Formats: sequence, structure tokens, C-alpha cells
Amino acid sequence: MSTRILQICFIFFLSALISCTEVIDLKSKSMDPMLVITGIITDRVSDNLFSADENEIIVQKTISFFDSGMLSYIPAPVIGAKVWLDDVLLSDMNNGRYKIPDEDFCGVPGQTYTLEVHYDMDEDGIEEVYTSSTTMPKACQLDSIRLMPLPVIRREYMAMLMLHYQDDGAEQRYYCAKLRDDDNGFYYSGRILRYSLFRSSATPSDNASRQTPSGWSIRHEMQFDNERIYNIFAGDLLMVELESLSLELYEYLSAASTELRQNNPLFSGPRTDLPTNIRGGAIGVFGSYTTNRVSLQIPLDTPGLPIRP
Amino acid sequence: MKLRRSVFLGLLFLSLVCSLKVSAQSEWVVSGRVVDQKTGAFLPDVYVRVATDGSTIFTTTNENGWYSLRLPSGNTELEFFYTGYKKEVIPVRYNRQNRKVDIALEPLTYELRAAVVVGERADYRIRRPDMGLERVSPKMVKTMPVLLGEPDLIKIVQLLPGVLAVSEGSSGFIVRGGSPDQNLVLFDKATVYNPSHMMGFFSIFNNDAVGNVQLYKGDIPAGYGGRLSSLLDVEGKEGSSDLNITGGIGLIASRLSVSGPIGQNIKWLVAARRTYADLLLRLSGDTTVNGAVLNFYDLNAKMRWRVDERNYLSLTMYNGNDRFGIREVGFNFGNSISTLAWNHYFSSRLSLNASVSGTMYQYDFKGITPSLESRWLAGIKEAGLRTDFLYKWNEQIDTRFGWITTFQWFRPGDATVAYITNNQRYEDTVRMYPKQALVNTLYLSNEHKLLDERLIVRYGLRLTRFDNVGPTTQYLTDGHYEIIDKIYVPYRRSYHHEYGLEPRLAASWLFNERMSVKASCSRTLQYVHLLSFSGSGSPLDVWIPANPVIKPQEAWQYSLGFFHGFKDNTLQASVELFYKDLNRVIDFKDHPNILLYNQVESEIRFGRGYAYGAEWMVKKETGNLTGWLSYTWMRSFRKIDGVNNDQKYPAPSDRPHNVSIVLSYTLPFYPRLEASLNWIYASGQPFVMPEGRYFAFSEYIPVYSVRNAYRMPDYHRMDFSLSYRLGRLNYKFVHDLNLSVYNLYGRKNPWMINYRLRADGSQYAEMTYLFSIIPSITWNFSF
Repeated sequence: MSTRILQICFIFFLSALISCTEVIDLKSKSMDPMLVITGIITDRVSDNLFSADENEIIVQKTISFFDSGMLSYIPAPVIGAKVWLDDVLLSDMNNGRYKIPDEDFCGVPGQTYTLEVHYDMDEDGIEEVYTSSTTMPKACQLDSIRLMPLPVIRREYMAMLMLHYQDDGAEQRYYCAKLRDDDNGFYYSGRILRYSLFRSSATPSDNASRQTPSGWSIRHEMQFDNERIYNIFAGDLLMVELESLSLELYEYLSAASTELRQNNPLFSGPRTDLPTNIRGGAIGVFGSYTTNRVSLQIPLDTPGLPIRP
Repeated sequence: MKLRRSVFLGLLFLSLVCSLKVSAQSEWVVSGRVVDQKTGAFLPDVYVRVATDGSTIFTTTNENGWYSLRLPSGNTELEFFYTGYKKEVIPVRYNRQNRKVDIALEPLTYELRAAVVVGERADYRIRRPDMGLERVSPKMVKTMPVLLGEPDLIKIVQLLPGVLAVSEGSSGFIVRGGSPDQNLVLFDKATVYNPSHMMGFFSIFNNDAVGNVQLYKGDIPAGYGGRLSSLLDVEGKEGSSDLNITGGIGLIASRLSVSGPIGQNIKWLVAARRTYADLLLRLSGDTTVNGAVLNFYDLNAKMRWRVDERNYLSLTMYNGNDRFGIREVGFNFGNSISTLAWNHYFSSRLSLNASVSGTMYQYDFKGITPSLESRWLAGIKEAGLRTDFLYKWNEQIDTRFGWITTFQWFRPGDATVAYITNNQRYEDTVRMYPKQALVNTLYLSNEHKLLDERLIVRYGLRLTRFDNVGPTTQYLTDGHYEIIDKIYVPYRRSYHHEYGLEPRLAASWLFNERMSVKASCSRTLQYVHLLSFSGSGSPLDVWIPANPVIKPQEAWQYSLGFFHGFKDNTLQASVELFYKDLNRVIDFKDHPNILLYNQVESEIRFGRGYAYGAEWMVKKETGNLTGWLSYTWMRSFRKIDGVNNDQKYPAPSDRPHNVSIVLSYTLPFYPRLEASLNWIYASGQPFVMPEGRYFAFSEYIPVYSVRNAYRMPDYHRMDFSLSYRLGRLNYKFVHDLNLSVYNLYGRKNPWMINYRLRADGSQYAEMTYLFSIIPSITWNFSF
């Protein structure tokens, strides 16, 4: 984790040296559509607080990169595929989403789930079969979160959110933390770039208590993409969800985080596709995670942070 | 392979037999050293010949200014030619004993030198058997347009045919389709592992402290190795015979060098350079801004002591550092280099160059606040001992031999983050295992001048033993790059070794004084690898040694060249063809972990590569108008299992078309004014572009093309400079104003391309460019 913090600090530091951007007209070849399958199994019923795509499978096709699309919308959904989770046939919602019929479905830590999708992608009259599997990790335990003040720059309050969690180090584990401000419904981790992805080392220890910086610096003006700014105030309730990810999901999200970030030639290599664990020629990911949440109220007397009007 | 080795061994044996036979003839020998009369610096490649019409007895001085000429009995006269210096003719009386004739050549006056850009014999490219050899003089660097007022040697090297900058503004360069880490950069025989300042915008070479520079693009001499693509051999400038002060004040940096003698036999030079952007920041009222540190500095020192006629000692020291930071967070990186060299002349035939050198590159990133402390350290150190012997059997045959021992300490990275809460300290540490390597090399090289010196053949062999040495922990992998074991190696224990044979062969045929054809073949091995995922080179790059899993890289290079001189060889045209076959070149798997990750063995992939191309060049080195025009066509590909679905792909250095125009002109009727211009064009850098996308996790996820299927827009740029000599022309105090404009027509060359999302969900491409028009002014002085 310290590696990532150092890298983030360094890249942020150097990015100040770089300027002068301009829109450029690039033409890429149009590619043949590819089948994409994504699905997440979790250990609780989804409440849409941190993710809207849990316990369902999405089947879609790729579109050309510069084609227009709509945010929060699947541009080329696949309708009419047959999707099985283990032996259960999922319900086709006619929008590319395939729901588990049991609305109270929860995954079980340690259990392996298999996915099978039948779809005639090449339109030759014969359905191709795409398969994958995931084993849900052990339950995770987030004990608390804490704000660690950082140096005050231009009299602005800034603090690093620290995560305190339990991990006995018996095996290497992969985590994702997500943040929201419950007082204004601001879901900070609404993009993969704002996930806090880290892995713990496999070093067995009697003391399972661990802490790690989340990578999120909390301040009054939290800038989002497209120049949107959300304000955080003293007294706000911050909620963090810690997810213990299956390896394939961690690798997928880590790679996505790299690819969605700015490609700086000082620190980046050539771009590459995300890894997939879907067999049969499709891309995407089928993964699972266990979850745990805690909240923290920012003290009202936090210096440099105004109180919500 | 066996056949090639047999041929080389046979040639070696033949050469030794020939050497013994020829050396048995009875003639007398004149030898000596040629130096600069003003600075005392050794002059390499001075043309020394018998001053008789039609005489074909000639030689050239070596890199230490040493020559040796076998003459028939009788008095004679010797002529010494060297571009930029007055020709000397010296009568030599016959003596049965061999004679020593040292000479100091007088440089031409400033006004004339301003018109003469280079300081070496103009037609070395025609006469010498070296293939792909280019030379750059400090004068050439000084006259060229500069970025932000700082003359930079490597920026000139990047304009040579077959050479390209890794990216805009970078000090990294690629040679003949290679990679930036495949270039050996030496400063007075010590290796420079990262020759850049300010993220590469400037190199560590202060032009006031640099002497001759040679770039070998292919036929690297047998005495040097360890890199696949090129050797950039930079000599430190030597002190002068009189007290001399040189300097310059520029927009972002100033420099000062002082040189002079101590008594008759010691000459010294001290040079310093520093940027002062942070000094200006201190004027700001913002406490964050005025506390910022943003500078680099260089300190050079060199001393040469003529102990007696046969012994010379020289000491070179360099220290340079970059410092960036605000109060709580800072980043330092820099090089320290030192070399102690001893030249000893056993006789007119046998000489020795022995040196010990040390080099260190390290970076240190740290942040300290009351509740958080972080530090990240990495670097590499190298200590070397080398002995180079030169034995001149006669004017026709030279033999060079020697051994080199280097010990390398690799510190790939230690990072610590400490949290302080309630007076308790929690530390999180990542420590990459240190690595060590010992490299021992023996080499032997012969140069024969045959058939009335029309045919020059040079061949050599380099034998290397490379050892991995403890203490360290070594990971082992299976055939699928999966880690299967790790071993702990105790202190000083050698746990893996490799032997490497590197044959070198070059030949030139001189049709006449104006025309030659050359060919060369060489094998090179590289035992260190750069863990760089960067497209342009960064200070965070980390070197690691070859090991049981990561094998040494190998290259065979074949070259053929045709050289023709016009107008008494003042105008030279050449074409060189090359083919490079690379084995075990490295790339990385998709989304690798390489920074602060111990198991890099599982992240690296090996494969083959090849590059080929042709370089055309027309060069004019004397007169009012000097410079060159070059065009290079080259291709470079890689095929590495596990990368790009195992399919061949263009290497990042695959930029087929490159044009360089480098011109410098002194007004004949107004010698105070000198204008320089360069223009460079290069095909766009290959890159990966997204062709499709889909929606997942509230994001549009890109789907990419195959590796390097697209090219960025072509790169081109024109720079221009005017240098105006101030003051009286024949006065000792010489000063001038240099006005430079970098990127004269404001070309926006893309440095990186990123993809942005509009609010409506559509995507667009956005490029970042570093420089538009950048004017600068520098005042230079010397007295």
C-alpha cells in the first residue's frame, strides 16, 4: 500500500510540470463487436449504496470507441442470451441485465460459483458457450476509519482517511474500499479511479489489526470529473465499504484503474486490454467479494472545514 | 555460431603471425604526443604524415594524442594536420635510435574558429575503419540552438543519423532501433546510469566541462561492451595552460568554469552549473510557493598531472543533483562519478591506460508531516578497474588488449511509510532485495593496415564472465513465468554466472583519398536491464542485473557503408546500411508490477527483435557554412511470447523516416555574427489506440488495438539561434550573446495522448504538448 501512496504522491507532484493540452482528431479503425460479460456476486443483498451491479450479470457488445453513448447506460445490450449461475437460469431484463430470480440471494464466502452464457454471437445459427467461475473470498472486517491530518496548504483542511481492518496474513488478500458522504448523498467512489484498491501481504501474524491509508485526501472541496465539485463539511457522516475481492476481480479493477488514468509517458507503458476470466472468446470479468461497512462523523470543530449551512 | 567463432579465432591467430613477421623489419621509429598548445589537451586523430610528395607513410594519433610512425632511414619532415589548428611541419633528423617528437598545435584564432565547427580531422569518416562513428565537439554544441539557454550535448547527439530522442525534451535516445537502456554512456571511462536533469529536459553534461565526444552506433570497440546498441564516450575537458575563466548566464541557469596550471606539469579545471528557478520563487508572497525547491546543479573537476615523460595521472570528479519539493515533500536524484587514470608509456610502442572509477545514481523521495513520514530510496553503484594496453607493432599493426573488472550494487528500492498517532509509530516497509554483480572482461583487438594501407581490418574478441553475488534473495520461475521458489544467497557467494564471447570485425577499403567502403559485424551482450515501463525514461527507472531467470540480452549487428568526399574531403557524403538481430530482449507482461516489487521475474517477458535501416548523410565541416543533412530510414520490431498475443509488433523505436538538417553559418563579411538552424522530422511514435469500448462498473472500458498499431502525428521542429560577438575581436576577454528560439514555428508535437469523456458519454482524444515557441538568451564569456 505504501508503494501506491508514494507513486500517487510522486505523479501528482510531477503533473504540476506538465501543461498545454489540445483536442486532437484521431481516427481509429472500427472493430468487429465483441461479446462482453460482467458479473459480481456479493455476500449481501444489494442496497445500491455502493454499487448498482451486484448479484447480476450484464451481457453486452462493444461499440466503436468514438461512437456516442450515454453515461449510466449500456450502449449495446445483448437481449435473448441464456445465462446460468450454477444451475439457475437468470431472468432476462431485456436491457442487457440478467437478474438472479431469488431477490434475497446472497453469496457465501468460500463457495465457488460458475457462470455459463449461451449466445449466438457470430450469427451462424449456433449458440456459442461462454463460461467462468469465481470463489467468494473470506469475510472481511473493517474496524474503523480515521482522519489523519495532512499539512495545511493555503489554509485548507486536508486529511488522509486511514482504514483499520483485520487480516491475519494467512493468505494474500485483495481489497477495494469505497467512500460516500451520507449527508449529501455524495458517492465519492462512483468511478473506478476513486476506488481504493490494495492488497495485503501474506505474512501470518498474531496481531491481525492492520491499517492502511485509503489514498483519499478529505477536504472541503472534493473535485470530481468534468469540474464538478462536491463539498464536505464538518459534522458530515462518512461511510466506507471495504470489499474483499476475488483475485480475478482485483486484477480486472486494478488494470481498469491504470487504463482509465492519464497515460503519462514518464510513468506509463503501452496501453493494454483488461484481463478476463471469461472463457470462450468473450471479454469482461466474473468475480465476487465480501463486504463490511463503517461510518465516521467528522468532528464539528475540525479546523479549516466549515460546518454545513 | 561455431563457424563464426572459428573464423574469428583464425583471424586472430593470423594477425599475430603477421605482426611478428612485419615487426622484424629494420627501420627507425618516430613517436610522440600531439597536444593543444593552449589547453594542453591531447588531440586524437591528428593526421601525421611524411611531407614528401606522393608519400603514403602516415598515421593518426590515438585518443591520448599519441602517434608512432616507422620511417625509412634518412632525414625527413613530418606534417601534422588537424582541423581548427595551424598545420605544422617539423624536420626530423635521422637517428638509429628511435626518436620522440612531441608537438603542440596552435589553435586558429577565435574569429576563424567560429567558422570552423569541428575540432577533429575532417575526413575521419572516410579514412577510419569505424562504422557508425560520429563525433561531437563542444564547439558544435555551443553553436547550436538550445532549449532555455542551456547548451546540451545529448540534444546534438539526438540529431545524428540513426539516433532519435525517446520523446520530446528527453535526454534518453535510441540508436538504430534499439532501446534507451541499450546505450552505454561513459564519462571519462565511468558509466553514467542516468544522464538527465529535470526529467530529461537537460543532460548532466555541462558543455564547459566536456571535451571530445564519440558515439559508436554499431561497431563498438572490443574494449567496451555491456550494452547492445551504442557507446557514447564523453571525455571531460582538460585544464588549460593559462588561467582561463569561462561562463554563461542564462534564463534558468548559470555556469562558471575556471581552469589553469599548477607549475609546468599540472592542469586543472573546475566547473559548476546551477539553475535558479527556486531563487525566483522565493520572491513570492505565498508561503507554499516561496518554500519550494526546484533546481539542479553540476560540479565538475578534472586535474591532469604530467608526472614525467612517461607517466600521466588524471583525476575526474562529478557530482550533480536535482532537487524538487515543497516544505513537506521533496524529491532528489543525482549522479556522482569519479575516475582516477594513469597513462604510462613503456616505450614508443607500448602504452598503458589504467583507471579506477566509481559511479553512483540514486533517487530519494520523501515526505515528512507530523503524522505521516514516507521515504523511497533506490539507486545503483558501480566500481570499476580497467587496464587498456596499446602495442604498436609498426605503422600497419596495432594491438589493443586489457581487462576490466566492475562490481555493481543494485538497490532497486526501499520504501517506508510511517504513521504517527497518539505518540505511537506504525511503519509499513517495502524493501526490494539488493542485488550485486561482478563482471570480469578480457579483450584483444588488432588493427591491420594492408595493401599500401588501402585495406584496414580490425578484429577483436571480448570474453566476459558475469557473476551474480550475494547477499540477496532470488526468485525462480517455471517456463510459464510463475514463481516456483526463492533462494537466499549469503554474503559474497556467487550463485550464478554466465560467460559471453563478443567478436568484433570491421574492415574498410580506401579506393582513393576521397572514397571508401566499410563493413562491420559485431556481437554485443548486455548484463543489466532497465526496469522501466516509461515511454520516455524517468528518474524512477531502476536497473537490475541479469540472473538465473533474466538472461543477458544479445545483439548481432551487421553494417555496410560507403563514404565519399568532395572538395578535398571538406564535404562528405555517406550511406550506411545496418541490420540488427536481437535475442532475449525484454518487455513486460500486461499491467506489470515493476516498481517496488520483488518478484519482477514473473513480470518480464523475453523474445526476439530485429531492426534494419539505412542512413544517408552529407556533412560539411569547414568553411563559413558547416553542418549536415541526414535522412534515416529504419524499422524495428519485437516478437515476445506473452506480449501482443505472441505476435510481432513495432518497437517503440520504430519510426521509419527521420530527417535532420543542422546548419551553422558565419557571415564572411561580419564575423561577429553566427547563425545556426536545425530542423528535425521524425515519423510519429507508434502507440496503442482504443478501437472499442463497453460499459461496466459505471465506466466506459476501452478495448485496444494490437500493440503499437497506430502512430502519433509526425514530429517536426525547427530551432534557430543567433550568436553575436561583443567587445573587441582580438581582445582576450571574449563574450557573446546567444539568442535561441526552440520550436521556431510553434509546432505542437504530442507528448502524450489521453481520452476524455464528455458529459454526453462520448469520448474524445486530447494531446499534451510540452513546448511551443521557447525563446531564450544567454550571455557567454571567456577570458
